[in-house]
Amino acid sequence: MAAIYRNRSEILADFLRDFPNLANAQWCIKSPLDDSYQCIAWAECRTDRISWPSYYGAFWPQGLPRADPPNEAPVDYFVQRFSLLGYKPCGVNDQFEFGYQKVAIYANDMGVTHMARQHFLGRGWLSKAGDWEDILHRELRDMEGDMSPLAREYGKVQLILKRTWWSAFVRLCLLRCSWNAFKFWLYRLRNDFAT
Amino acid sequence: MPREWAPEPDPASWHEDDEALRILLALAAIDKYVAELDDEGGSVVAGELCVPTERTLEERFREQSDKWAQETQHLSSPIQRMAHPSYQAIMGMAQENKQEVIRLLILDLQERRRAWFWALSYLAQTNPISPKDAGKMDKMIEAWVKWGKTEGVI
Repeated sequence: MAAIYRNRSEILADFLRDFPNLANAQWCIKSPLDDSYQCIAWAECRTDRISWPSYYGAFWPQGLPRADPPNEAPVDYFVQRFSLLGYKPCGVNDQFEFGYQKVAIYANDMGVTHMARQHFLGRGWLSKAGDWEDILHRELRDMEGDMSPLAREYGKVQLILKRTWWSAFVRLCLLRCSWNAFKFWLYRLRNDFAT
Repeated sequence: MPREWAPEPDPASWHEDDEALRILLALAAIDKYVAELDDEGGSVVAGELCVPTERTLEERFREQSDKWAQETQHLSSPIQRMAHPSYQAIMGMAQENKQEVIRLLILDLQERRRAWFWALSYLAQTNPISPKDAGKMDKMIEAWVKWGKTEGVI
């Protein structure tokens, strides 16, 4: 799908309605709306697919455990997936560490709900909210919410994984991230001119 | 024998009598309305009048799918999306007419790109998406539309 360039006020209204913590946070819009990828793929630095440990409608590497509804997708499935990309668990240390790239796993009482990737230079965390736009938010708690599955929120950060920049470089992730950053910079340039 | 006249009504009770009459008239009107509803197949539930409607499966599907998309678009987890009551309502509609619901799901997938992959696989008991295209939205939609045409669903 071609990306959809939504009006800034429409984007703000949507995000503030479903992520109340953003009301008192520093955050900005980084990309147009695009349903071709979601948060897990974005944590993998991909914008061309939907990743989820499911047998239907999503990519997941062969040989790794999957769970289709009504079974939940536990944090461990995502740890295994991201270990293939060079990530290792580092507790809940969300501080920027020079030479490392981090991703955070959010979960509620039903299982994993979301992932965010730390900005390469530690300027915050990059989140893709479902089909909506990517945003850069300063703190991980900005996207946190209720733990109840009925709340339709992301729950809390359960675990943070990290890998070295070298590990990201050899998997071409840095190249992909740089290319996407350039595309989104062009989007913002165009969007700013349009408004 | 002198005729006994009814006692002169107390002016203070006139208002009460009017009120009682109005209540009686209102009750009679409700009775009449309920009788009409009964004739038309309507009902009264918990004191609330339910006007009978002739809504098609497609109209109900549209309403629920719009609500579902609007309220779950910010979620990435398919499990969270499927837990939404509208998703469950649509799955329930398949008990009325499974083929029609599959048709509507494929058309909605094609026109509005709503991710009905799990529902389709569950209802149609098949998965036409090849492993190499898994996760690629355009390819997955294409695979289901092609399957729908091959099977004569759309």
